[in-house]
Amino acid sequence: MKKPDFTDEQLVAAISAGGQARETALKAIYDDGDLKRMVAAFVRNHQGNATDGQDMFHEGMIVLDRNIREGKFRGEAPVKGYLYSICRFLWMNQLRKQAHTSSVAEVPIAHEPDHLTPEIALMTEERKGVLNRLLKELGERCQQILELWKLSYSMEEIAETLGFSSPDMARKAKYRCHVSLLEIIRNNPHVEQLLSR
Amino acid sequence: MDVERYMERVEQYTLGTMPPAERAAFEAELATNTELRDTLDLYRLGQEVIEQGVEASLRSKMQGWAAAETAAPPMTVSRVNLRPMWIRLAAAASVVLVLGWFSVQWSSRNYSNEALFAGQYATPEASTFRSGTAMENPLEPGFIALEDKQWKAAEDFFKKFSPDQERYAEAQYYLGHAALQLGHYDLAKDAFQSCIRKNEVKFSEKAQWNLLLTYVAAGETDDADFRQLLDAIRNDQGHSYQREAQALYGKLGSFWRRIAE
Repeated sequence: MKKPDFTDEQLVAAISAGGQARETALKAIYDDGDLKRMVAAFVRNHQGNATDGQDMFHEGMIVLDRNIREGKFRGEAPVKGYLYSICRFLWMNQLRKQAHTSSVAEVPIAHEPDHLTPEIALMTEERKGVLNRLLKELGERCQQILELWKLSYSMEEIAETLGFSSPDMARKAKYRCHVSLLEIIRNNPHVEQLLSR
Repeated sequence: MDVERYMERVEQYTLGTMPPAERAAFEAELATNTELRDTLDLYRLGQEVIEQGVEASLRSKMQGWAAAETAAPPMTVSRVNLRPMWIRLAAAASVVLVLGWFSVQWSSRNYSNEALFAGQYATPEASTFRSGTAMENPLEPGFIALEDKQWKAAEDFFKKFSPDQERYAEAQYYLGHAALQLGHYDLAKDAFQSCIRKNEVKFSEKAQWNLLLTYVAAGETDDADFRQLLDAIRNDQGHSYQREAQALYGKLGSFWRRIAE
C-alpha cells in the first residue's frame, strides 16, 4: 500500500489534532529514510555511532512532537529541517555534557540560522527522574488513560481503546485518575523543590 | 487543600476553554486564594508528569518501528521473460523457491522465540527508577548497575535482598530483568514470581508480563504455566498488558510461527 504523502501543514495539523492522526503523521516522518541517514551521518561525524544516531533521531522526534503539540513550532522552517536541527542540537548538547565529565575534547557550539534554532526545553535528569517516579506511582491503567486524554483522544476513543463500557465511564475514570495523580504529587516530599524551579 | 474543589475550573483555565469573563475572575481570584493557586501549580506539574508518559510511549513505539524496519525482508522478485514453457516453469519454480526461502527467513526473523522476545521486551528505562533522592535510595547501587548495563553486578546486588526487607518486591522485579539479560532464565522466573506474590500494584502486572517474556526467551512457550499465565492476562480486560498478551497469543498460534519452528 502506498504511504500517504503529507504536506508540512498536514503534518502539523495532524500532530496538533492528536489521536490516531498524530500517530500516522509521526510514522510518516519517521519513515523518511533520508532524514534518518542524515542524522546518523551527522552523529557519526561527531564522535557517535549508529546507535547514538538512532537514539538522537528518536529523541528529536519526541521534541518535535511536543513542540508541535504545544504550538512552539511556528512553521518558519520545513518540518523535517526543523527535526534535523533538533537532532543536531541534542547531540551537540550531549557531547558538551560528556566533555564536562570526561576527557572528550570540548565541543564547539553548532551555529544554526536563527529560523532553524529549535526551541528545546532541556529538563535536568533529576527533575525527569522525579516526574517519572510520580508517574509510575499512578499505575499503568491510569497512565494510559491520562496519556490518551493528553493526546486529545476523545472519550469515545479512550473507552474503545481501553475497554470501558461507555465514554461516560471513561470520563469518570479519567477524572479519578487525574485527581489521584494530583494527590500523589501533593503528597510527594520533593514537590516543593519541583515547583520552585 | 481540596484538589477536587478547584479541579474543574483549573482544568478549563489551563486548557483555555474557560470563557473570557470567567477567566478574568479566575485570574483575580488567583491573587488572593492560595488554595486555588496551589491547585493550579499542582495541575501544571501534573501535566508535566503526564507528558513524561507520552514521551515514554512514543519512545517505545519508535523502538518498535525501528525493530520492524530491521526485520523487514527485501521482497524483490526477478522478472521472468523467457519464451519456452519449460524455462517458464523452471523460472516459476525458482520464484516459488526464492519466495519460500524468504518466507522461512522472514518468519524466523519475526516469529522465532528470539524475535518475539525482542519485539516485546523493554529494558526498564533508567529514568523510571532513578530519583532526585537517589543517594538515599537503598536500591540505588542496583539501579546504577542496571543503568550502566552491568547486569551481573545488578543481579548480585538485587539477589541480596531478603523478603522481610523494605522494597523487596521492587528488588525482585529488577533482579528478574538483570537475570533475564544474562540469560539466567530460571532465576529470572523465580524473581518475577516472587515479585508477583508480593502483589504490589506498581510491579505485579509488569512482573507477570516479564515472566511471560522470560518463558519466550527461554523457548518454553509450551510450558503449562506459561500458557496459563498468558491466558489469564489476555482474558483480563483490566490488565495493563492485555493487548500485548493478545498479540503474543496471536503470533504464537500463527502460520508464520509454525514455519519459524
